[in-house]
Order: sequence, then C-alpha cells, then structure tokens
Amino acid sequence: MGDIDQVLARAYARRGPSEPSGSPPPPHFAVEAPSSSVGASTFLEWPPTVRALEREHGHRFDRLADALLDARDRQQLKVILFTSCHRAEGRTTLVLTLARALARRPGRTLLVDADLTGPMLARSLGLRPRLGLDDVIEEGVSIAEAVMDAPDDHLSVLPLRRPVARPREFLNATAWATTFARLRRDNDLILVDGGPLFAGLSSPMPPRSTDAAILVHNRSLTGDRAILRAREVLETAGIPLLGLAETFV
Amino acid sequence: MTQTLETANSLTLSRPRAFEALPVLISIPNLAITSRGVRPKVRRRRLRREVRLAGYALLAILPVSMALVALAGDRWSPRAPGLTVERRGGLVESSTNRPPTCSISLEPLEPVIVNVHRELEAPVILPGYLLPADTSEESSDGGH
Repeated sequence: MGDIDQVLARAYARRGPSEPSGSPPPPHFAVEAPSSSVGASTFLEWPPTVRALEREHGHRFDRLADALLDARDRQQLKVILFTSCHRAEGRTTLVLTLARALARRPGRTLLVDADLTGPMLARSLGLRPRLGLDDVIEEGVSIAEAVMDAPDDHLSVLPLRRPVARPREFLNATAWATTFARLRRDNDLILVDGGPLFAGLSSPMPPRSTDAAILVHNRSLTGDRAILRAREVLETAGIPLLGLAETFV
Repeated sequence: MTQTLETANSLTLSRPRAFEALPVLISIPNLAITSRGVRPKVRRRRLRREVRLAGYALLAILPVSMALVALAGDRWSPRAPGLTVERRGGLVESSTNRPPTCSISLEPLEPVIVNVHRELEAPVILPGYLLPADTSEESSDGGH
C-alpha cells in the first residue's frame, strides 16, 4: 500500500498543480491548485488544555516535533498516524499540542481528522467546517475547498464533518489513496488523528496511506495486552509503529 | 524520562518483534496532578462549600418538615363518629386517645346448612341422554 502511495505522490508531484491538463479529469482525480490559494483563512480557538500543556511541558513536544522532522528527512516519514487503543486516551489533545510545536518550525504542517467514528478535531478547535474529508472522499469535493488554512497559526486543518457510516468502504475507496497522495504532495508533514483501534465490535481498521504510527497510551485505560494487539493490527495493515506516547502519567 | 528524550531524538523505523518493548516517544504528565497550584484547589473549595451549604440546608429543612408532616398527619386523619371495636361477646371497647381508622365487626358464627344450596339447584336433563344413577356408577371391578 505504501508503494502505491509513493507512486501516486510522485505522479502528482511530476504533474504539478499548475500544469494544464488535456482532458477534464473525473472529479476524484481533479488536480486543484494548492489549497492555500483557495481556502479562506481560519481562526483556530485552541483548547485551554493544549495551552497549559504547551506552557508546562512544551519542551517535550518540541523534542518530539524535532524527532518527527528528522524522521521525515531521513526516512521519508511524511504521514504520521496517531491512534490509540480506546477513546479518551488524550490522542486529539496530544496531536493538537504537537501541531503547535511543528507550526513554529519551517514547513507546511497539515492536521487531518481521520477519527471516522467520532471526529473531534474541528470541534476542539472551535471550527464549524462547511466541507470536510468526508465530502472529499464521498462527494468528490476538491481538497482545496475542504482544507482550512490558519495562517496565523501556520497550520492547515482537514476536518471531518460527521462520523462516517461505513468506515471500511470509506478507507478502501480509491479516493482515499488519491487524496492522501495529493496531501502528501502539498504538505511537508501530515499528522493524522486516527480513531481508536478497538472501538465498537467491528474489527480494527487503521487508516491506510500512512507512513508510520504513534500509539497514544493512557496506562490507566489500556493494558499491555491491548498494546501488543494494537501493534499486531498496525503491522498487519503495513503501518510500522514508531513508539508510544504516554499520557496522563 | 531520559529514555523518552533519547528515543524521541532519534526515531527509527524498524519492524520490531511482537513482544519487544516499544520505545516511549513522549511522556506527558497529568496536568491535574502536576499543576496543583491554584485552580484545582479553588474548584475543590467551591465544591466543598456547595456540598456544605446543601448539607446545612437539608439539616435545617428536615426537622421542620418532619414536624409538619407529623402534626398535619394527625390533623388530616379521618375521625369517624363511632370508633368502636366490637368483639364477639358484645364487649365494646372504645379508645378516645388514638382512634383507629377502621372498625372491625365480627358476626357470631352460625351453623351452615349445606343441603339448602343443593335443593335450590335445578337438575339439568338433556333430551335423549340417559343419566346415570345417583349411586356408584360402576362396580369395583369395572363391570367385569
């Protein structure tokens, strides 16, 4: 799956956003202009918890941000999935705080909400998106219309407006791979806020087209066996696990 | 924490074995525990004060309400004119201090005549059917 993503990303990069195309492409494969020129600027309302974490433990997030950038440069890890075994393990808060640390560094950072059963990213940032990733995948809306740029924060957000009715079909759609290939082309680092792996009765489905994963772990909620199981699930999906992010320590 | 920072400085993409320990990239303390400065204490004090006030209010209201219920219960109870308990021997016992809410009257027992009901019942005779005799229908050996 990673090979397909790489090939798609290279193809889009070669084609370029401004290159005129001969025939009008179908909606899912339309090559838009970079989203920064299309999307209107957005004001992000950061949660108080994120600001408190940044104030008290900002150096830890700075170090992780530097490590992620280093991994991107050395190992081409551009799309990082943040997942957890269960809900309420602090995943979204960690992603938001880390995104602020990355936003202070050069490069274009994108936050993607891929919590298909309970999207929280837009709500956490005080956003009410008109379009989102669900519209891009299901309705063929262009990415540029769905991505929300926050120039003041030096960040971009691709929200998910509502929970997805059929997550498996959503992830297996061709539009998912092509969307992430385009996002990979247009951004320097992508943080994907994925949902919990073991939510509900269905078998876990980690989002495809991601280069590596970080498992957010709250010791009081998740035991060692769940972590091992999560590791197996991710490796089966072809997503190497970089390590743990322990919260509420 | 040293291990955390060292690991976070160099992320290596490898395929670890299943039971190998995973590196901890970042460890974030619980804000509620670490920052026990001003805000959580204030919240707890508020909560305690609210709980205390609610308790005082309950303690003040409960005895008054219980007294009201007791007094009003006496006043509202139905007071029948002939509050007597009749016994079988005709002994009448009246209680003026605590009148009962109901009176019980036991009539003297009389011998019950069972045959009266039997005589009142009309026999049902269906045409064309031969009714068995009132005596025992069959012999002890079943007719053999």
